[in-house]
Amino acid sequence: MDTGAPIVRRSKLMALPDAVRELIPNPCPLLAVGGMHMHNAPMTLVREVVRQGIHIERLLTSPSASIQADLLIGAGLVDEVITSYIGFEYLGLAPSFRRAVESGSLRLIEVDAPLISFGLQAAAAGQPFATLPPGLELSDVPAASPDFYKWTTDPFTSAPVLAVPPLRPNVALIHCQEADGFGNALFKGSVFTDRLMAFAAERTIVQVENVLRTERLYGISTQVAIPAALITAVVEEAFGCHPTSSHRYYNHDEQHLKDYLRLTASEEGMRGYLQRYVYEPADNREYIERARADAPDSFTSPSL
Amino acid sequence: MGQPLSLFGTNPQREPEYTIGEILAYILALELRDDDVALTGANNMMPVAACRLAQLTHAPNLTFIGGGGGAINSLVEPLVASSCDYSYLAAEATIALPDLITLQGRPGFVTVFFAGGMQVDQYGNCNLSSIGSDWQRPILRGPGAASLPFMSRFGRTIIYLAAHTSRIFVPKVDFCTGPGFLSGPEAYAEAQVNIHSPQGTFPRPTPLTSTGPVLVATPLCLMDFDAATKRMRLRSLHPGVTLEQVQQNTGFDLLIPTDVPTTPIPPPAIVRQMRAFDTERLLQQPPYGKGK
Repeated sequence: MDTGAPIVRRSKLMALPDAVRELIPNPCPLLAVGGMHMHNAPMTLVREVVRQGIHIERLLTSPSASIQADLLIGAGLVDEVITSYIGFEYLGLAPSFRRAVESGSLRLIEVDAPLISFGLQAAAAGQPFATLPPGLELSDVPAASPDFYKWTTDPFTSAPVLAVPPLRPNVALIHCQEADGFGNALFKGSVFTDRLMAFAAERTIVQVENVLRTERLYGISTQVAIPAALITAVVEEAFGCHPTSSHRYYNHDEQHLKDYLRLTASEEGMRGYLQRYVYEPADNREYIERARADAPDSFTSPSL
Repeated sequence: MGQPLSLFGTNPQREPEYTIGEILAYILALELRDDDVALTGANNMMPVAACRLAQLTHAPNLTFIGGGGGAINSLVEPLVASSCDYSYLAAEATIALPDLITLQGRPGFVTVFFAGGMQVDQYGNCNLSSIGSDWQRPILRGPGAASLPFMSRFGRTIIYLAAHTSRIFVPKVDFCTGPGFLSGPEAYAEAQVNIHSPQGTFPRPTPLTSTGPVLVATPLCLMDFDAATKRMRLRSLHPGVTLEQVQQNTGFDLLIPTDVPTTPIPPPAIVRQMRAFDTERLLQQPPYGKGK
């Protein structure tokens, strides 16, 4: 096997614009975005998707998304969204998501959390579908999305059972606090459904706060949540989750999120926000400088 | 400079004896039993305060799950506003969200669930999805279901709301995200007998222990459900709140028992215990701010 060429493992480190341009098809049939509520959202990847104007035919969120979905919807890039929650929890409703559904410009596939989790699990395991625990059909959700909830027969009891399809994203965008250059990725806080998204997706781009040398992992390999074989590219960007939090690294920027909700309450306001915080900054560093200048006191670190 | 300085540092901005938020956290805590497994979702500051208080007062073996971050029995020092905050991970265990969703289906695991909604109807059904008669073109699009549909499987559901208005309390929800007693006793009984068969022709293989909604707590009053009719019933009025005030702000005929007591207020020692972990005083801020 000796060809004389050096034996070097391929690095998956990519610059942000290159990763988004080269790895996300445009249009993208099914794009998954990770993060839960206002935490661990892959915002620098999301902003780059907006900058490059990637058309998302279907967007899949985690069981509860906030700005990572609202921004893509507000930028007019999303045809259809599969979600169980888009909102800002104690801060309020999602302005662009609301506007788009109420006006009919966005097709909503309303689902519950188990559909997302079991659907991703089915895709990861190569299962043709997953079934739901009895009782969930008493909600109006399954009837609202009949293409995603189908009755079938339990072959063991002959009882009817609700089945949900596998969810196999073309690309998953997730955030991990740390990874090595090959994509062995660690969470320093909650895992959410982000690990499962990487297990299910054809490709996963992970944005990280810090890149570690692989040697650092040998003593802590049990903490590596996603093995490199499932990661397509690693993008290193400090404060890449802003204005959401990155667990252990920084808290969510409550002031910026409040400003977002206020500024984007109208379509025109949304255009202004995108201009100021997505299109104008040349890169994530410039974005962060601008956000920090606007709300200097709201960049805080966790005390845990 | 006219006031003499107190050696014991009496706070010139005296804190209230209690707030509506502290009453509600206290009441919710009283509903919790030792050995309960309680699940909270988004916007869970209030029930988490109740769970922590219950552990400190009468339910040391209570297990509570702090939301999508998967933290179990968090210290919550301090109490925080966002359910997935990193600070929740000062906890005795943390599981990943897919595992938590798996356990939400496990029969009998979650014995208490805390729910809410943009609309709640007289049978305790909750709507967190969509307001208006046309789901396709809603008047108001809400955030969505998350795990609210599991209400049909969880043990006791406690509904807590930050406001009490006739827009929230409607005769029938426009969209049933979280099933309570459905359209009443007959529908609920049928669902209990045969929970997973829309035709009602198959036996249920997995008996559930769900008892449906047991309590509705608002800034005005407490309500529960009549055993026979499954309709919402006034349980107590908070101090200073009148029956008329509640009826005017409820969009259906609330069952009114002959004797309506005043909601018990937390004793000073309990308030001190709450404030020991609610150091940011979230239970004193809007919409829970008013108190005595």
